[in-house]
Amino acid sequence: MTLRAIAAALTCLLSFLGAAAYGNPIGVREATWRAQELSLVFDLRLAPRLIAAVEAHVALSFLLSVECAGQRNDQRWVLYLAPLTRRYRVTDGFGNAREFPLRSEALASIERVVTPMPGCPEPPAQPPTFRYRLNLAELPSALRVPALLQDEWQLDTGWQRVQQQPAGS
Amino acid sequence: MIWFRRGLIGLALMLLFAFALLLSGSGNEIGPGFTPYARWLTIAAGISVGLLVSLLIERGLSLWADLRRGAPGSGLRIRLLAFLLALALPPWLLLFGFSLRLIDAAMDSWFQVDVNSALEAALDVAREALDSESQQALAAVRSLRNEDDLAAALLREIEKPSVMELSEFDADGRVLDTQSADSAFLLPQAPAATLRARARDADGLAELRPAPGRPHILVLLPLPNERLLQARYALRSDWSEQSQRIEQYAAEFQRITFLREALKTTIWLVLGVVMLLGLLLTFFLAFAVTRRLIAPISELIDAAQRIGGGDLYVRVSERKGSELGALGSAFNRMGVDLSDAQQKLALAVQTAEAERASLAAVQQRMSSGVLTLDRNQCVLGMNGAAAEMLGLSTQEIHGLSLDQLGAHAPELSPLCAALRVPIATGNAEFKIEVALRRSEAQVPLLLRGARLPEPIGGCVIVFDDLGEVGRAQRETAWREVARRLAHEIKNPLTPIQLAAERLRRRYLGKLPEDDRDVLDRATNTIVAQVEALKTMVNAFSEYAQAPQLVLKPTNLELLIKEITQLYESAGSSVQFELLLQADLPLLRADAGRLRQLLHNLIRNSEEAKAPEPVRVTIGLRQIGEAAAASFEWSVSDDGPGLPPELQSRVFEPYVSSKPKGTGLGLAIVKRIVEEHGGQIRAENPPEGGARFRIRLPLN
Repeated sequence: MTLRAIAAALTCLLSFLGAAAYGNPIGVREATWRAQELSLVFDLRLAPRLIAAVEAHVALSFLLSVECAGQRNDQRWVLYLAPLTRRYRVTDGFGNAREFPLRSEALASIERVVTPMPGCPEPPAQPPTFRYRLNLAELPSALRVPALLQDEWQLDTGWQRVQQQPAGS
Repeated sequence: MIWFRRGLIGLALMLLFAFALLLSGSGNEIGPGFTPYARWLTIAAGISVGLLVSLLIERGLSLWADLRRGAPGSGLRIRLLAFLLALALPPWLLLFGFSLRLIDAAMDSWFQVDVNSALEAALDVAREALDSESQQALAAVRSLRNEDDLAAALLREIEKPSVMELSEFDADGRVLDTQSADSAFLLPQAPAATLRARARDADGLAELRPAPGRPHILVLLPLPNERLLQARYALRSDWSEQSQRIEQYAAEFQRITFLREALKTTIWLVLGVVMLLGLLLTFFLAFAVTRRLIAPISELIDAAQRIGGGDLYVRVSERKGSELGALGSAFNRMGVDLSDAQQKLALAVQTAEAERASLAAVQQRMSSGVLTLDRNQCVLGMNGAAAEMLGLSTQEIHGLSLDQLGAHAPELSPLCAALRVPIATGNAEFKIEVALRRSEAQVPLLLRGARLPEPIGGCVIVFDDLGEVGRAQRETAWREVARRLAHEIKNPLTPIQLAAERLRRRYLGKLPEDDRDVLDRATNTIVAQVEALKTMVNAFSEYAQAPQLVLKPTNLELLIKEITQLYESAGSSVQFELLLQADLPLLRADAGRLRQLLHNLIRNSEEAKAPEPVRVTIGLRQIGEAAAASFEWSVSDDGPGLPPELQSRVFEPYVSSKPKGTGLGLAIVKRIVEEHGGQIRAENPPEGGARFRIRLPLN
């Protein structure tokens, strides 16, 4: 009886975690690998609660992870509304910041991302894989538990494989 | 196994505690930290909760099962558990409920203060100041545009402390001229096309650039020929710090306002996990405490039940230094006393039983009848001789009073009447004679009674068949006569026979024919009669002979079959029917004497019906048990039966209804039976013929 109960509890927990991992997927419109550089276009739609979070000056961090030839590269973009200027600021992992008067412009800037993979051979032996997601670990700590429990916070492409471009294209 | 379970429970509780710590956050932040092991800790905590709840359910069910099957102490344990939980749970629930309510109310009250409006107003002021600064910077740059020598004007302007950079770009974004207050400044970065377009459309723009550590105002002003003038003006340091602080506080407050519900959810979750941890800990502690408290009591109850069931050697563990330990010690002492008492009692019972068996065996062997009455003059028992003499079985009269005995067996009325008087008068000992009528004959009995001491009470009556006593005396006398006769007669017989034969040899040929015939018949008669006398003397000798038994384990069944087969093989006219019980134990007896006994009885039956063939039925069975066990051996025939006038004297020497025989056959049979400690009885059964019943004690 005890073992069955443990198995049931474990199954429920894993099911919940599994469902939570890909609750609200980010669409991938385009993924192009060319000259050791990965160009990605996503379909990123924020739920009203996430928009409210941005408007309340909560920084949303998006994390792109790329794996190629056993190497992994992580790059992040942070969307933040500056209170004084009322402008949307997008900073990347290299300290570069761009400001946008409109949220849609700011979102558009993080929907189209390009990341270099200098360690990846050209052409790669295996197609590179990538994952683009809202990084819940960088949310304010008070928001992490609700974010884990609510689907609208689960913005994630899951691991995707880049389709090889035909030679010469 | 117990330590493994305890370790598992402890580990699960610790994991849950660690999960609560993780949820509660660290430093000044509420909420889970995202460490590499957070996900695994969450999974482990979920498993722990499942495990702990399962163990609690298992323990509850086990306790319920104990109660259902009436396990010692289970009811008390459930009551104590309920009592402990009733004590422990309400404070937990109250604390949890009030904590939630207070935190909820406190958080709501924090945000009721209109801090946001104040911060917004401060932001507005900062924005207005910023606009003013920006307009001033734009105006200053516009004044440069009107200069004829722009390069010289830039050189002058860069000398101002607030100017950080002045750059001129052509239509393609290439740098035409640049001045910077920073000596490390290399090349300016051209503005983005959108900014250039906006600057052209508005004929200049000024914006705050809150670059980290270097907030400034960016000014873009279109120049003739699609050129563009870019200037960066530093904000005043005090103004910059204040505006940054206002911006930070305003952002922080708005963020906290947004996070209010999430914060509540997190706090509820943390409190819920802590509450769950506390509840589980309370339940497990309650189970452990009740088990520890009830264990000695359960042990005592179980031990008491086992002692009640007869196991006097059960002991309980003695816990030093506690009242229950003292109780356990006292219980164990009681157990020791009880087992000692039981051992003594068992020994006493065993001794009494042995004595009773010995007494019963003695009684059964006695030729005198023994009758025992209780204090109410009811029959308690009697021995075999008494049953034989009274013609009743013990079971038949057990519990009957003397009156009831007289009514049950009217022939015993004289005996009952004779006993009533001395018993009623309370004589300690008495001796009376009574004559009973049995089979048309008077049986004189000598009764000797004695009152049994208290607290047993009642009395014991020993009686003898005076006729039997007389017969025994006669038998003794006969044996002496026989011994003397055998001694006195046997010696002259041989000379008489030799003398007769010598006369015959010497004078038979010398006498005339007539005398010769007389001599021949006379000497033949003498020799024949001497032979007859020898036979008689041998029989007397055998009868008078002192017993010299050779006792060996003897199979009676085999012995009977051997003798009957001997008769059959010799062409005897005797027909046998054997009713022998199988698997009888061996009897310690003299097989030769028993063969003679059976041979005498068969010959007695054969002679009784001669010349017609006789049918002899031989039965053998075991009766009684233990010390009273004996063989009942019966030999019956279909002859004319025993003459009634001789029935009581058939075992006396020279008592015979047959014309032939010495009259010693049955006397010898009786002698052999008595040599083996047995008894013999002759009777005429209802179906006809004669029957001899022999009882030989097995032990």
